[in-house]
Amino acid sequence: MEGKEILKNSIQNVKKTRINYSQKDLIVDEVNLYELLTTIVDNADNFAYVSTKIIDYLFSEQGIDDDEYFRDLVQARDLLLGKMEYNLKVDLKSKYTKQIERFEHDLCDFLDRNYPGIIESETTKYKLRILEDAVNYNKLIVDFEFVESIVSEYDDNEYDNNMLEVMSYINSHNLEVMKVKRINAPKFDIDFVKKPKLDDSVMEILDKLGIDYNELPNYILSELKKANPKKLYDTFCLMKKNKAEDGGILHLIPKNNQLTKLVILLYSSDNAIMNIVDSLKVNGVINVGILKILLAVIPNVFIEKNNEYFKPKLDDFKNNMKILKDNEINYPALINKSPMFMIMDSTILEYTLNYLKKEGASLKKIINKCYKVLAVDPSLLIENVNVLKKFNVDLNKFFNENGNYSLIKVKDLNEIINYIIKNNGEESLNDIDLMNATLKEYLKENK
Amino acid sequence: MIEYIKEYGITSLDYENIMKNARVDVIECMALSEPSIREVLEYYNELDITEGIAKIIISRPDLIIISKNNLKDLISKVDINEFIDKVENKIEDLVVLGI
Repeated sequence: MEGKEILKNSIQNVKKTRINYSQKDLIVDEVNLYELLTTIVDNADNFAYVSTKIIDYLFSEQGIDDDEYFRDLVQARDLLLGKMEYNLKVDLKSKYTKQIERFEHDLCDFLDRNYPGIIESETTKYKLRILEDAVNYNKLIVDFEFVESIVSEYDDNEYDNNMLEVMSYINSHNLEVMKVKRINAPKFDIDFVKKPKLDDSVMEILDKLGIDYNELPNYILSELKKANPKKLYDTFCLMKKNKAEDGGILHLIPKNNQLTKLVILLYSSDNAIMNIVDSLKVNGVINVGILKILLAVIPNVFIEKNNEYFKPKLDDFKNNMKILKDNEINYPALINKSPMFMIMDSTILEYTLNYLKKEGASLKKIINKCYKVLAVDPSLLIENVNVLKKFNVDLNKFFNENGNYSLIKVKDLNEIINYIIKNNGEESLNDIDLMNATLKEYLKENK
Repeated sequence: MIEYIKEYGITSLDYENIMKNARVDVIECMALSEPSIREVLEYYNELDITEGIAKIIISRPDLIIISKNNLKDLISKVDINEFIDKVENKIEDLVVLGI
């Protein structure tokens, strides 16, 4: 059986054995109680979605008889609804937040008592959904621990052979995914019968930025019209502060780049801006030079909100910065030399680094030596490591006794290795210095 | 979206090629960072690189999505003629030059 088939069979097997209750059981007032619990735990503001019918149901099922608790929950829910639907400024009093926490606890207790194992089953279901999605829609498969567990459950006796097949399928699947070019560039041409009238506060922002309404492209006008004026104004107030430490980034954006200013206003947020600013602090002082580079060259790292025109890159920036900091990389130097590293898809970057780590590479060394390839074409590193493996090159030696990783950065490694063997014999593949020297000769000959 | 790059020697055919083959996030960056990208493209033109720009955008976008000063620093570490030669003939070997 091929790896993909084994993986699909393993997925079906888990569906049959691990998930043994009906979704219908969990629905009250058209809401899935487990999903409701996870959204409230994630953000207490989501308590706004809890209907009176759900509160009644829980009270009745749990035998709760407490009028004050009931009243507080309804009042808290109504306040949060006001916040969500009418942008009211709401800071819940502690008595309300405590009651919401109590509700979470009661709901969790109810689910646990009536559907034992539900938490684990729901986690499994979530992981299965991600895995099936990755297999069917060409996305990276990254949760190897989960894959191992379901392949083992499928047929423990054949586990070793099956895992070999599955991993070989996953490796080629992931390499294909990494190479696919996304060609869904957005369309920027929108036609209006009549240009939209913008809110007065938005016009005031444009005026302060020195932007002429009549010169704005239609897609930006349309986005400004759709945006919440109050939120735009709040973000503008943060951006125009004097100090970068306080989120004041407006004066650091190149003067002639009005589009970046508007795009950050539209699709960033106070939190996103502060997140980036704070990530550039060393001993409380911000590296303003790097902040300027981000704003001038990769301003899309400030984009947090989904929109039709620009892909949000905030999460990639945060994850990639974490990788750099965790591995004690001199990130200001790296960002100066290769800002693109910070917008690389972080799942691809993590997958590549984990793959190379498993083959014996030190992450710090590989990032320092290969950050340009990692920023542009990480799959090349995996492909080349696979070529070295095919020719039985000692990877441990390659990664640890080698000051030069040029071999895994070149496009035609297969051909180069054949050239090395032809000129120096197969045993030269054990001599990393000789391989590097022969690579130079090859490049000279093939200019 | 990034039509302005045609002012730096990109032909209509190259432009189509870029829109089909370059990474979408690269195109988005180039749209958002027009003033900085213009400086970089101007610098390539000063080096007499025009036809090669499309290749750089597709194969080495990190040499476009960069500040002009940092690009100059990077290129100053190698022989300029060798750099131009690689861009025109074998752009994938730039990485072995340390670029």
